[in-house]
Amino acid sequence: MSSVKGKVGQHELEWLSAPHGKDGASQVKFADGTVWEVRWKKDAEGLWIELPHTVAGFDIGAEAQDEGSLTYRLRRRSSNEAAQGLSFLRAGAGEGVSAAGAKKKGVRVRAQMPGKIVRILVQPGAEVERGQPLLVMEAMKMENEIRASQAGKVVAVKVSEGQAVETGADLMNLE
Amino acid sequence: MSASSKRAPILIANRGEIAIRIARTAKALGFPTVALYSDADRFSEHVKYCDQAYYLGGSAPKDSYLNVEKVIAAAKASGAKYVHPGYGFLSERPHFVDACEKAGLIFVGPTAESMRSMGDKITARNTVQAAEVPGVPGSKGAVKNGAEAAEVAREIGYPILLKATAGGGGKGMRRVDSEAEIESAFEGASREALGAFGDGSMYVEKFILEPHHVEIQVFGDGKGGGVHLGERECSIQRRHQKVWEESPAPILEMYPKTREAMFEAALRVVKQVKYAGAGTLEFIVDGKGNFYFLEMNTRLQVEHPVTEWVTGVDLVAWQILLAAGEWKSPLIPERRGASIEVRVYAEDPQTFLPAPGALNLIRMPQGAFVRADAAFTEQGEVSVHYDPMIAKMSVWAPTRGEAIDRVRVALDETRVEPPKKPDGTQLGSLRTNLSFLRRLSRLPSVREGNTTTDLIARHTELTQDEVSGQCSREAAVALSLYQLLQEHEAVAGGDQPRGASGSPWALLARREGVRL
Repeated sequence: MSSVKGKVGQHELEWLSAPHGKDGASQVKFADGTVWEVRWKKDAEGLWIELPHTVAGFDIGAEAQDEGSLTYRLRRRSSNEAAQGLSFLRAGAGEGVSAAGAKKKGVRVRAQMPGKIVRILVQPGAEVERGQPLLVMEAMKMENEIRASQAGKVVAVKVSEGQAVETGADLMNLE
Repeated sequence: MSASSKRAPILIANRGEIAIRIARTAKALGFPTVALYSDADRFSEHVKYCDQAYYLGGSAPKDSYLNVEKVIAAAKASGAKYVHPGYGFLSERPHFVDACEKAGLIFVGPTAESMRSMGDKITARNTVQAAEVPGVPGSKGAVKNGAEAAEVAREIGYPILLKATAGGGGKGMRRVDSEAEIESAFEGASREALGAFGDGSMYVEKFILEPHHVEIQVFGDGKGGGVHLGERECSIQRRHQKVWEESPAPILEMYPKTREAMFEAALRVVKQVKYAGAGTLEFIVDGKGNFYFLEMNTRLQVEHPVTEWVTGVDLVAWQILLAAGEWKSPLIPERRGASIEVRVYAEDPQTFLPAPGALNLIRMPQGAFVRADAAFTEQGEVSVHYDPMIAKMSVWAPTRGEAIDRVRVALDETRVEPPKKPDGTQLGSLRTNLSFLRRLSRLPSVREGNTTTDLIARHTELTQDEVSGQCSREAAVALSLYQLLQEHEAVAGGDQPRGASGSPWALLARREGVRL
């Protein structure tokens, strides 16, 4: 099988044969010419890998970004190392679409749980700061302020006061 | 044991981890156990754990666990003699104690009378004042509106706290720093209290600086006698709800005289109200070692394992034996070493908003001096109808520093995962605070014992995104590998369906076919 070349964060790497399967082995080559033999086994939370110098387990989960791409959240088991918003970007393909949604145009504010809209605090056209309350939602008997995750302009309010919403429902669009 | 055949059943009027925890001890003592369940809990662990189970009704608490008539009817139908209320739900409702008595059932807990004397916070403050226990300066009673609250605030000085008289768990509570904020804060808190407790009345309290939340566990014999079982510090809170509880209290290590004074105060209150069973007096201790009474919880607390670790006392066993007339007042238990408990919640680890949903995998920590109390042992659903706590875990060690190390390791072992789609993204809305707790266990301020109640707010690094764009070579290998495997699986239809046509050769052919 053919090799796959790309980048994760600051690391350029090339899989000398495209990996597949729940368990298997392949080789990965870095920009400085180092080649690592890699054996792996997938498990319920991520991956177990064997490298020439160490073995390590990683909990890995994918997260869908608003523009449809996937990034990954990862934690090395029994350690402090954690990262998120990263993905393997193939060489040549979409260099501009960097991780963590750098090209993101807008933000959709969504309901994280089922509940009821108590009050709407901003109207379309309003400029909001990061952390500013956008609306008040009642869920699990608590009033929760939903705040802006970044500064921007309110383009649309998708709900009205008193409305019941389900998890994932669009509440507001920011730009 | 011959005693086991003679014991009368005990009905557990609760759900989740605490129902299981109570049933464990009841079984060990030889009491048959009766569980209750709602629609949402038909297949929950606590139902499977008990000897019998009775259906109450709909998922909403008012149709099931909060419905006195239904709970009493189930108790009678089951032949139970005792009713253990756990925490939350009916555990602090005196009218439920009355109803149990009327039905000839023994309520495992204090009398309705002592519950009433501690029931709402204003009555409680008056009760403890009679025992010469100081409270936090504040309004004499409920305040009607923002203007009245402002009047009190002018007297005692800002910042102040607005609190619901019927409140608990941080619901209906607001900090107010100036008169300008007071009107809207009053409105919001009062509406929240009305929604949560059916009572929107509010009172005012002075906001204590450098506050530590410290509570004293007591156990009374109902005749004025009793013991204390040391303190717990529960200062580390988000949204005014505890996530990390420990004993001994770091702040009291600096002020041992305060500790002794608090123990004495707690025992005076036990005597004053002739308290029966397990109870907790909550205090606020400021940075200089002054302490003020906050409220008394007339029930078992979520964080009681911390006390069980340092004293070796099974508090639920004491509760049940007292109800059965078999408890003998012991000496004040000696306390050894240090214990820490952390609570795993279904919530967003950055905003702490509840995030219940389907749960696909749970793995609790193991090992020496590690205890897990979980509501789940396998797949399940964290229901939107109830408190989103999934599990709690606690550890013991000879010193606090070693206990923190054990918590860190235990948290690294713990897994609570939602189901995943084939592309690796999660299915459903479940999130947990595990990543937050892992960071908390590594925070230098925690290790230093600098545990004021605003610790989480002070340390924004606890709730920030992981730094993006940087990772180790090993992580880069793991991540690219995982992504390529997922993508390959999506294209090839996966290694899975090992069904009728699922010979490895057929799969290989299909995979290659797709590639061509």
